[in-house]
Amino acid sequence: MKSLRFSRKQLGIPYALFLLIFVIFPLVLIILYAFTKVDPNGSFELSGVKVSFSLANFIDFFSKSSNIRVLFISLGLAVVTTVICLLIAYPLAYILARSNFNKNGVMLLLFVLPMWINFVLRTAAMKELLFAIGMYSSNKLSFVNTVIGMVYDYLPFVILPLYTVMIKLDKSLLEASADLGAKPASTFFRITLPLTVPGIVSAVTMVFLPTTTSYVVSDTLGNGNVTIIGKIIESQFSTMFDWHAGSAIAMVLLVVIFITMFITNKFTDDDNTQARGNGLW
Amino acid sequence: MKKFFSLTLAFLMLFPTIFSVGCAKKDDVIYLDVYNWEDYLCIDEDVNLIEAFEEMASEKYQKTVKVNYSTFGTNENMYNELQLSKVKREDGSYDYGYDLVCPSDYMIQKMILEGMVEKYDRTLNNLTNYDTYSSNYILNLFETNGWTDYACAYMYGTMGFVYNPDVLAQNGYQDGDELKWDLPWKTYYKNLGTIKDSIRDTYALAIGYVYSSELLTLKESYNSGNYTESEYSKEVEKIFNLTDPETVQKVTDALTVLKGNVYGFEVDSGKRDMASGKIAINFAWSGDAVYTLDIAEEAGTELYYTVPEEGSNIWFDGWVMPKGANVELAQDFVNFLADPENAKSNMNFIGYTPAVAGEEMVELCKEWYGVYTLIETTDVDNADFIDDDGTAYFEYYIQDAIDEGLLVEGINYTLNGIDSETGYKKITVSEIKYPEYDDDENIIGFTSEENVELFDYDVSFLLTTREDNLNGVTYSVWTDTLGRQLTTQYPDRETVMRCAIMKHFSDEEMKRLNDMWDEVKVMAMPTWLMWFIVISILVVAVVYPIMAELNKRGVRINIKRKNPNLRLIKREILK
Repeated sequence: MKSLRFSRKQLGIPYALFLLIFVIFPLVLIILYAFTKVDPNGSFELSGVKVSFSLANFIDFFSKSSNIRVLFISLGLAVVTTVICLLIAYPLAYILARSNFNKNGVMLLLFVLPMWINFVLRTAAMKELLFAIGMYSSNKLSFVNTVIGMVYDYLPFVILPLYTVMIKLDKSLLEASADLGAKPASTFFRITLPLTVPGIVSAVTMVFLPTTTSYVVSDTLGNGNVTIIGKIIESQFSTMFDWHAGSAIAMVLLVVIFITMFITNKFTDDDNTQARGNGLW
Repeated sequence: MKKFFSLTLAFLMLFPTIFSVGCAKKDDVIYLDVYNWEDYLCIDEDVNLIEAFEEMASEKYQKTVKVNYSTFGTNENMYNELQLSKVKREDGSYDYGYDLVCPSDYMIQKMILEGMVEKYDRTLNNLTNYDTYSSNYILNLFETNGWTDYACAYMYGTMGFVYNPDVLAQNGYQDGDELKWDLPWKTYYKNLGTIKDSIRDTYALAIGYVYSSELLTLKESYNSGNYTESEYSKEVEKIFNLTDPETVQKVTDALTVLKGNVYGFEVDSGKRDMASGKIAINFAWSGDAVYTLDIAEEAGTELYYTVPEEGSNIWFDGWVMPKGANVELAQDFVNFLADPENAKSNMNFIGYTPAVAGEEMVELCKEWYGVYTLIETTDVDNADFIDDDGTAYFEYYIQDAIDEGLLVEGINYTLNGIDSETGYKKITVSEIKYPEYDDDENIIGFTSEENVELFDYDVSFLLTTREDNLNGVTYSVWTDTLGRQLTTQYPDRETVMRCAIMKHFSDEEMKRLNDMWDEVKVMAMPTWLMWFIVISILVVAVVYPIMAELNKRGVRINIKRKNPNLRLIKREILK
């Protein structure tokens, strides 16, 4: 019997199909919905309703002050969460990568373990915990609680990429730096940090966007006092039945994310990004 | 590549065969696609209404009847799902993927307006249970609003506050606080209340607050006879359905203030938070309120439910058949649920009030909320309970005991006339004996309570059927638990009269409400945070590319740094 052989192209087909059906097609739909509006005299039909091209959805979005506020709050939340995550995760990943007792990955496992417990459950448990320590004595603390919840949920996503980058870090570079007389601090800022930037970038990529949209956390921990853009999108789809406006907001968010990604990618050296799959994990 | 194609083709060719095998016996099986709220039908180990229906219907049709039961979490999700399931028919109308769905009042109106629902066909004569046993009030309500042909009521209730009197008392409770809509606005209850994270419900709450004085004046003139019943309820309905920009503005202001005073917004967590004592005021649907009261009782807390005296929202969920439904079978299902026996299981399982009324439901109420007492008997063989001394007892419902002359006025109980506070007939029973059970429900002894005050709570308004109403039958329950589960499930006539149905809002109105909602929900952001974000983004976006560009062109901006080697050399020299 002849053995089965696949060329590289053929091996790529399953993923290409997946990409086409679940990534590109929905994206095209979102764009289509974002730039159209229900119009009885419309030129074509979208899921049985006459629509026409229009920028009205975007104009509506930007002409409401609450929308601008929500955009800022979401981004603010995302920035704060990302920064805190990095501040906690970076030293931790550094210690994990450098220490000997992590040979079996036990320590790493401990930090990634929470990820395997259901997200909603974890958030609900977090609420009980925060209540016990008195974080719900005033509803002004809602934002803080939300940040804590977000950090808790996304920390593993920061630790992992940082850890993988740091474990690959060439120790001889550090030794060389020390040999040439650099102090530990100097070595860190001039060798370790620049070399781990790809890890930081991918960590940011994995935390920044989800934080702006995971309204389960903000609803549960913020007692509904913190509204983020994900919630606004959801309400457009589910209470207003306005898929067009909802898609437009999703598009706005997408653009904002692209800008942030563009900026973060500027921090990585060109050749480095090539080596690490453009900074995306 | 060829191989891939042939493989795919082979696979594709397999598909129809798989399908045809699956469909081969289709003619013998009738499917009923039911789409209902989560946890809104009694399905447990003892009573499974779906299986019971399948059995019953299979016998009727002499074919296998299968119920495809699925559930939804919000009306809006249900509507979206229906829209996604629709298939165009040849005549241009749509066919929806479900036979029976259970939306709320406003969604039913929306669906009727959009021509999505099939009419009930009463010529099929299979809605007899529903027409016989439904509450007269509900049937009238449906008739006056013209929904009878499109929908059958399933469950209904009011909106109001669940509150914890003990906690309120600790926080500066003033007499009558719980009776008005401004309860959560009271600054001395700061951080103690929750409101619903849903536009329509919280809008009703705010309307009650904003138009409090108007509603009270209205009630006053109704009480003094200036309005008839129907005029009064129409006026209340008008106020609760106001959506003009001025009202919306007032509501925005009221809710912005409220947002700073409450613990938060919730949809589901309020029940647990109430029972665990995190909060003391919960704006709730009556069905959820009953559940909250129950779980709090298990935890040893006594909570109460009140419908504010200004008036409130009365809502219902009903069965509608989307276009293209199997009408006969769907009606069978609705009728099956309207059987008092099944309604009782449902009420027990869900905690919401079914639209089914009549004697059997009253008996259930008595069993749950009425007061029973043990009375000595000589009929030792049939006794319910024999204590250690060998005295035998029967268990009697208080009213029955009075009727049968087992309790004597002046000795066992005193008539107190009408209670001024509640307006109900009141008696004081000198001693009530009741059995005590262990965990296995074996009687282990009895306790007694002295001087128990009982109220004659009239449940006729909601619990009489058409026929009862014609015959002038009235029902009442002697109870000691006013303000709790019984009154929550079956509010009295006066309470129901001041409650209004909230209408479906048009797209334009809904947009106005949604804008209001966003305005309220999105927090006012500190200006410094906004500036901080803008500036930091600008700095990064402008400075960094410039630096990079300069770097590329060979321009280096050198910030003078101490050469670490210099220090080493110095040290060497010093040595």
